[in-house]
Amino acid sequence: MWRSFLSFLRDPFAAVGASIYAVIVVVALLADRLAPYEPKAILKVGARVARYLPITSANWLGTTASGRDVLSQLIYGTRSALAVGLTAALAVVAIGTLLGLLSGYLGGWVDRVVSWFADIVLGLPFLPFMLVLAALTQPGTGVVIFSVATLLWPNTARVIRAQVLSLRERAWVEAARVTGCSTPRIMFVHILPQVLPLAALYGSVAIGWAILAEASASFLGFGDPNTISWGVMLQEAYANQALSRGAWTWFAPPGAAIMAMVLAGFLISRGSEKLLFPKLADG
Amino acid sequence: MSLLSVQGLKVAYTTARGRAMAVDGIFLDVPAGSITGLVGESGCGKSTLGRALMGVLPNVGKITGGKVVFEGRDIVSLSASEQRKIRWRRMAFIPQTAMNALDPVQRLRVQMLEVLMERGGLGRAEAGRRAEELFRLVGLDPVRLSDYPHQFSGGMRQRASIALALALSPSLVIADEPVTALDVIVQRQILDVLRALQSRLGLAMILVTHDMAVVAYACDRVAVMYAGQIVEAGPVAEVLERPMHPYTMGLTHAFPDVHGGDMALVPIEGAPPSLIDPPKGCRFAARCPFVVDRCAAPPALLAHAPDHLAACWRVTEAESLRALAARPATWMPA
Amino acid sequence: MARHLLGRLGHLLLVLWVVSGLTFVLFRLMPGDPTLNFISPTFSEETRAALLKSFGLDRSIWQQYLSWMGNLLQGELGQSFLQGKKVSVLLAEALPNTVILTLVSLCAAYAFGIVAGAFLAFRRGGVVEAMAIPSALATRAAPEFWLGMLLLAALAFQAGWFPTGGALSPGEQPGTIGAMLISRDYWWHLALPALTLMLYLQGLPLLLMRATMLEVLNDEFIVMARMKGLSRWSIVMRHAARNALLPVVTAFALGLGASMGGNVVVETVFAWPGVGRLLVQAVQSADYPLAQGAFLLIAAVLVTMNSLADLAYAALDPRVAIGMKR
Repeated sequence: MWRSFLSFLRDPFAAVGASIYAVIVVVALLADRLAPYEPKAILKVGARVARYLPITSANWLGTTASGRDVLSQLIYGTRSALAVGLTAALAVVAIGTLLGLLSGYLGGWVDRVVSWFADIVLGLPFLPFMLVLAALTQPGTGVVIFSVATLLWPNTARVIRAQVLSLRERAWVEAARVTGCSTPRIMFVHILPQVLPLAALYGSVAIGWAILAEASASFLGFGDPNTISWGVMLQEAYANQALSRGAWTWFAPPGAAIMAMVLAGFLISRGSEKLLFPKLADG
Repeated sequence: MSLLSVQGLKVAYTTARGRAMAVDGIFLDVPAGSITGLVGESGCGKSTLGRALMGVLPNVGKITGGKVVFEGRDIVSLSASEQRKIRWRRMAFIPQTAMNALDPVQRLRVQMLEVLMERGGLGRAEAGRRAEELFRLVGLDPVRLSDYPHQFSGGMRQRASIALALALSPSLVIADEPVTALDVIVQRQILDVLRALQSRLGLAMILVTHDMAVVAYACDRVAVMYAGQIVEAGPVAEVLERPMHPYTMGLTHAFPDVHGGDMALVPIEGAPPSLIDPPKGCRFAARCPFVVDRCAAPPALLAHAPDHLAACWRVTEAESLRALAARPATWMPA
Repeated sequence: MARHLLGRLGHLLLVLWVVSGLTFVLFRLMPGDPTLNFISPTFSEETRAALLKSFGLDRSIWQQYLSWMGNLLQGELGQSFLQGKKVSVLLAEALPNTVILTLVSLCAAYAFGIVAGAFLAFRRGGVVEAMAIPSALATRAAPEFWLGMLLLAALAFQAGWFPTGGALSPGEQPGTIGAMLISRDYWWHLALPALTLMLYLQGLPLLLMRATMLEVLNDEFIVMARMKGLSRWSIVMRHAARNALLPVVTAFALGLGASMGGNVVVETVFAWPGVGRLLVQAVQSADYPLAQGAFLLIAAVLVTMNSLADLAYAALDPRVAIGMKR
């Protein structure tokens, strides 16, 4: 187990991805120490609110339209990104793995029903659905997580199902059946552990989808107004004419942070692919 | 003067564990108009030899030494474009599994025409006629030219591959295990097609196979390959009835007769040596029932009878060794 | 073959029906008076009465559903609260803009991606490959609206080369779709949103084409093609590319469907008057009939394109088309 982790890190893609995640986690944990200011604190220069300040030694990334320090917001944004990302990824991978396991192992009508559900779900456009749901219920990270979990599971399910189909024919599964193992036992005790690495692979990509979803929702005004997230930063910047003002240090970093985190997920999944499926490895 | 004369050819593969000499100093002569069998177990390098002769080795393979004199020229020393000119026009190839070798998304007609027009310089109409002629030659209905490879049976696909190979009337055709993937009845049919074509068109053929029975049925000459080297060569009847090398002796006892018959199968125990770090002396020594101290030095491939070469120190005792080899007990592990 | 097609068509209609039903349910999630889905307090008495009758809003939920379904099949989607026109009219006006944006960006992205991917498959190893793959991944990882913001800030606001939003400059009224397509002003406005989308979308075809090409180039029939002495061009173009393109074509069809929904944010950043932007506006201002209509339209396109993608693959791969039994 430890050895496979080390060989996983030897792949340059996986190593870079893992380091990015490591940095983000560290920053999130130490946000209180690393951020020079409170993210929501309105700073002042003398008596005036410190709006739109450029890069200075006091504010490495300048300030927002309401006088808040951009760097501090960026740092605290890691928390929301990780929270939403991990929760949503966990949810969607759990659902996808469970359904993939059931439809792959049980086959027959279970498979048909799940497949049918997947077709329906794939027919619902993700962003519009999330927006409408947010508008009709309540904007916030709950809607984002729910949308990701209910609409993005088919990809994972399909792949897990394929792997379960091939595992089902293996000799040791036959042996378990013959010795009278119950079906749930075979599925969850024998087969599930074998598909977990693949599920984890999809999990790392799912974190990216979740963060992008949250960013889009926030950008359109349906994010959680109480938390500082990178998506909310971008929305504020856009709404306050940061583009026309050329306030690059305000709107460039949050997007770059999102990109880095999503990219990390992609890189890890590409790296693990080489480990899990060596034949696929051709770049 | 042979049509093809391989002189000391060496082919190296770069692998994760080092350099493997898949072909390590091959000497082979193929006279014009003959069917020469190249026989050996898997991994001995015979497929590599075929690909090396066609000049199409995978990225990790390279010719590292020797000459290949074909129609009077050393093709190894030719430039890439000169080599390309020879390919298919003078020397063609029939692959092992035609399913993978034919383009799955193109009809046979298109694949035939491509070769005939692009490399043969024929006009479309003439190429079409020639394609039909070639199909008839191999026993296929020209109507099938409009089909895709997956619509053919295994035997028919192989016939189509043969038709493709003969398209530009080459003087040498290398057939790489052409019947291995087919069932026994179809094997016979395809071998008959190959023999008929060879005698009709007068071309030379190298038939690469691991099956001695195929060699016995279809070839007039044979070269036995082991661990990247030729260990015996000569006319088929001569080599099969009076083998001089212990490996050949073992092979002739290890296969059921393609004509039927009731022979006991006696396999040669053990496995071929590593090609990355081959033994210094005779490469067959570890598995040879007749090994002696002298075998620590590598024997040369020499003619010990007219037109019959072998690489063994004990070739003078061949007759008595043959008698011993005929007994299954000789081949059992000590 | 015809039976297969009929089966697919049936499947498509079934999914469309279920999705529209889900939409009906989705919009009824709103707490409070269900008539608010269609009737705004600002409507006149006649409008109120007409809508009440048309959508059966004073009857049971099942009857409402039937009226709604019936209306839907006739293209009747109600009246927009805030934009003063029928929803179907608004959608019809916005749809061409979205379609043009999507098609232009997707085609450009795929054209680039296919060529670049094939090129990369050829040139393995080296600096180019080491840089190209992470870059392609990075463009897919970045939020598309952020890419749009960057381009907008640099090329429109800072450099002034492109307009900062909208589809037409004030005063320009081309009238018909045809006139719009040849209007330089329209294309000038289309440039940045299309460029943004193209940048975002090209990663997928690039990586996909490269991966499939690599697989195909290792296939035995390519080795055979080399043995036949065919020219490199012939090998790549006629044999390798054709085989490698199959999954890419499928991805294109799927991308077309998904893009419609995903364009939502880009259309907002650039104030591009497409269906996506209508949806966002409608949702932000509680204009429920419009939101519902826009959502349905986007979903319908997605479902249809998914089915077409399936069909396209079956049609293009002769192994599937000529009924190969696996």
